[in-house]
Parts: sequence; C-alpha cells; structure tokens
Amino acid sequence: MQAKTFFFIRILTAIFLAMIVSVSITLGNFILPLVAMVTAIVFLWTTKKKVQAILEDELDYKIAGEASRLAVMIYAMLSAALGIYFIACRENNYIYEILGSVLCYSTCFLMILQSLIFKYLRNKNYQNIKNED
Amino acid sequence: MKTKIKEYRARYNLTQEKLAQIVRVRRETILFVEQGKYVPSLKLAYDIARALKAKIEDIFFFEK
Repeated sequence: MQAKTFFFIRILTAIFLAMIVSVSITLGNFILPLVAMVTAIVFLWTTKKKVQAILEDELDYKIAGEASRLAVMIYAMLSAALGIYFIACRENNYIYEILGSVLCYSTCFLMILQSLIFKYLRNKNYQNIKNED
Repeated sequence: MKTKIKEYRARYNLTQEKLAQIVRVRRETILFVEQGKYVPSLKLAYDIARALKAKIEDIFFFEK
C-alpha cells in the first residue's frame, strides 16, 4: 500500500469517527463512540502495517520529542498560572477553587508522569549501554 | 554541517527518493540532511555512506 492511500484512509476514518461521535451525542449513547474509537485505532494500526513506504523516521521521532517537551512545558505553565488565579478568586465563586485545584493537581500529575517516564527511558537506555559493554 | 550527498547521488544516478528507500527514511529527511539542516544519527550517516559506497568522513563535514 502507498503512503498516499494510507493518508486518505486515515482522513476517511477520522470523518467516519466524527460522524459516529456526533450521532451518538445526539442519541445520548456514550458506548458507541468508545467502541468506534477502539475499532478505528485497531483498523488504522493494522492498515499501517501494510504500508510499504516509510511513514516515520528518526527525524520525526526527534521532532515529536521536542514537540512533547514543549507541549508539557506550555501546558504546565499555563494551567499552573490559571489554577493559582482561580484559587485566588475563590471568594467570587466556590467553583473557582475546585477548578483551580483540578488544574494544579493535573499539572502536578503530568509533571510526575513525565519525570517517571523520563527516568524509566533513561535507565532503559543506560541498561542497554551497560549490556553492550 | 556540510555534505556531499548530492555529488555522490549524481555519481551513482540515485534520486533522493531512491536513497531514502535504501536507508529506510523519508525523502524529506534525506533533503534536510543533504542541505545540512539536520545532523543525522551515526547509524543513518553510516547507512547513507554505505549506500553511496563511501566513508562517513568523505560525505559529512563538520565545521566549528
């Protein structure tokens, strides 16, 4: 399969998925989009294996790494600032305190998760280097 | 970083697409490496050099 064909299949799957999600929102059914999403992921995963062309390489992985680092940094800074702002404004509405806490805790969770994954990957690479020696 | 990928490709009549297929990367990656915009990993540099029947130091030049 050519890369272009896979690209069109991906777009069609996204359109189909969006249609299912909008229909299920109208119907009030929340199981249908979950099933559709899992099916789409499995379908795309199996289709991707049939593509002969190279879809991603080391440059993409490098850019993806940098993009993830930037995304985490921007999200952490924005949500922490917003969280603090909401907590400071808790006098106006009690919802603000909950919102602020959720934002601050989600930032903490994200940063802990990122550090854990970073540590795991670093140790894994270190272990690989040690085994090669 | 400067490279001589273009010269070597011309010598062996290889297109960017063909070279990309041989070293199993996307054509854009070859383009960026060729223009010196992306410094490849040692493995990719080695693969490119091998595909162009040359040594790494004949193809890649680093300037301070």
